[in-house]
Amino acid sequence: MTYSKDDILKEITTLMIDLFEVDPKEVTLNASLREDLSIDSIDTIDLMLALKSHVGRKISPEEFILVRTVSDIVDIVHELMSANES
Amino acid sequence: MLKQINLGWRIIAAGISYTTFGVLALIMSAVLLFLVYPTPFSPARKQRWTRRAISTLFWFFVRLMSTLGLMSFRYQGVDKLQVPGQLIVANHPTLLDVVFLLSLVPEAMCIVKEGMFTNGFTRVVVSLAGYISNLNESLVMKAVDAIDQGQTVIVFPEGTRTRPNEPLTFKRGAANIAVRAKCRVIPVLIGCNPGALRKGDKWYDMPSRPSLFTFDVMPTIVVSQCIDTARPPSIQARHLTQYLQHSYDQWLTNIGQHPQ
Repeated sequence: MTYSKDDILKEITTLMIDLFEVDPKEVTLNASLREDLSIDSIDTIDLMLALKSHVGRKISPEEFILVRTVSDIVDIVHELMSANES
Repeated sequence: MLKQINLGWRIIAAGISYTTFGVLALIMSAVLLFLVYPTPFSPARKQRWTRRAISTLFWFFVRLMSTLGLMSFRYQGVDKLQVPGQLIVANHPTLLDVVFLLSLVPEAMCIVKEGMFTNGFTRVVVSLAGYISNLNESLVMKAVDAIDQGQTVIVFPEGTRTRPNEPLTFKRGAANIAVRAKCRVIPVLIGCNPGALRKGDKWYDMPSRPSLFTFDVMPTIVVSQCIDTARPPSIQARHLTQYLQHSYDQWLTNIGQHPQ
């Protein structure tokens, strides 16, 4: 089964609500993690750990280092999941 | 008239204090860099010596300033700061807060501004002392490791000095450290009346009369008694930050020193 970017955004929104108590309305593709969602570097590490079970492998900090917005995360997760498929 | 003389004297005394401090700090840095750093002793031992040297310098500086009549200070419950392996948090009204706290807890690890690591003069000392930069990405984990090893960590949750008339806003670093190290939190309430050496003040901006600095160690915070520790650490850190900020809002209001 392939996930669309929309599905992934929904999953990430759920995770962010559970982990960071964000307002679901604020989680949009263009939202900046730091400024709009108040997600800092240690939160990002927690998010990576939580995403591990979704993408089926550990995500290295290097892959996350350039992440600034929600859409950056969606792209990375989408890429990793597509790689799993093939 | 007497007031004017006192004010004039205090500006001179401040000049003497800061100059003395600068000269001693320079000598200390040189000794650390040229006589301690190259020795074959273990980094841990050099780190301890450096922290003790800084603490001693700060202890002397505090006494110098109070002896010259620039300010006075009062401590309450500071014995509790000596227990190893805990997190000390404090509000941050003045430039001297860290000077007082490090003079009280000689071997503490401290989170300092990134600027201290880029300034050629302070870089040597803060590196040798093993302090962490506030911009270090692994700040929380480094602080947690330090606490696990039995070190005491000092953090100002405000990050930087809060300007008068600004609301108190705590960053989550301190709470993250406490939640992840599962350690006690010792809150220190710092008062300074009248306000001095605030953010934006110049060294020669003197308050109308010498300030009284107060350091009150407040009841120990046991994390599991304040927030739900069954939630994910990221949520716990948010809740503990709110709890801390709320406590400080109340304490500062009680002593009539809330910035807002």
